[in-house]
Amino acid sequence: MRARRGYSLIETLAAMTLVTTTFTAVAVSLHQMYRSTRSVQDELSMELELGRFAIQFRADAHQALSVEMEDSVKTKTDSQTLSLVLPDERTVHYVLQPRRIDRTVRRGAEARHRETYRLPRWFAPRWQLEPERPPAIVSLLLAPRPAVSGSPPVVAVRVDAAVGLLRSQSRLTQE
Amino acid sequence: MALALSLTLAVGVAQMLATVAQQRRSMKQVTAAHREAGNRMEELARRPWGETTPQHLASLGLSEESRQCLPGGKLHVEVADEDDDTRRISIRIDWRRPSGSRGEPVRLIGWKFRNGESRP
Repeated sequence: MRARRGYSLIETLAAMTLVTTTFTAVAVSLHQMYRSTRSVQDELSMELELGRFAIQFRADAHQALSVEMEDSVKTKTDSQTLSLVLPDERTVHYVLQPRRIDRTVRRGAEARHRETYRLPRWFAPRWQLEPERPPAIVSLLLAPRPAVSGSPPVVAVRVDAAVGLLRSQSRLTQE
Repeated sequence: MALALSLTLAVGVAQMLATVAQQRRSMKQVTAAHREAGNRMEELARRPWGETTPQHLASLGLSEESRQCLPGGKLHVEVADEDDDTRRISIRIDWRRPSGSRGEPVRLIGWKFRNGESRP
């Protein structure tokens, strides 16, 4: 009987198919894991940024003597400004930009401090003021933009702050 | 043999991806619940002393945004008078987790002080 010296075409094709399938599966899995990691990093970054914003926004709002909202129709720009007047002649301006919120602290006309909070591209930000009764509630609303490619499934986000809480008769501490 | 190994690998990776997706959903829900608790506490802080009694707060519910991302979400507000001028407000939010169970709820506690508001 002659010794076998190679593989048949069928065996070679079967081995190649298996190897190709395995490599494809590994490549798809790696791609999914990479996308997943990017997405988690983006979401975590957004939550940290929003948490930082919420702490500062509430601290400013609680101290404020009054609140004013200037919309893009009045200013003819693509921004919406919220101004909080603080007791020590400082004014804090929060300006909504498409991808960020700018916070500027002014004393008179002089800018004393400025910082920025980044927003993900899949949210459209706007302010909402509920002045039904004092103290007013001012809110940042982040509504999902309709057609942003690559955005994760998101729901609207809202950050509320009571204006002038530390001046009103009732006050609140939290733990 | 190779086919069995490939299948095992594929099933393992699929299970891992499913677990990661579930953890992400769970993390998003916890974050949303914390945000909602903060917003509710602002609303309660704004109310006058007389409107923070258990009767007034019985009708308080979750916001529309939170109802969308917290399936079966429930808001519980407990009010306890510590003395005549101090009121302890506890907010508890629980919901159904992606695994189907109702896990550890999110809690936020605040104290409200009368500070000159008229006594009944």
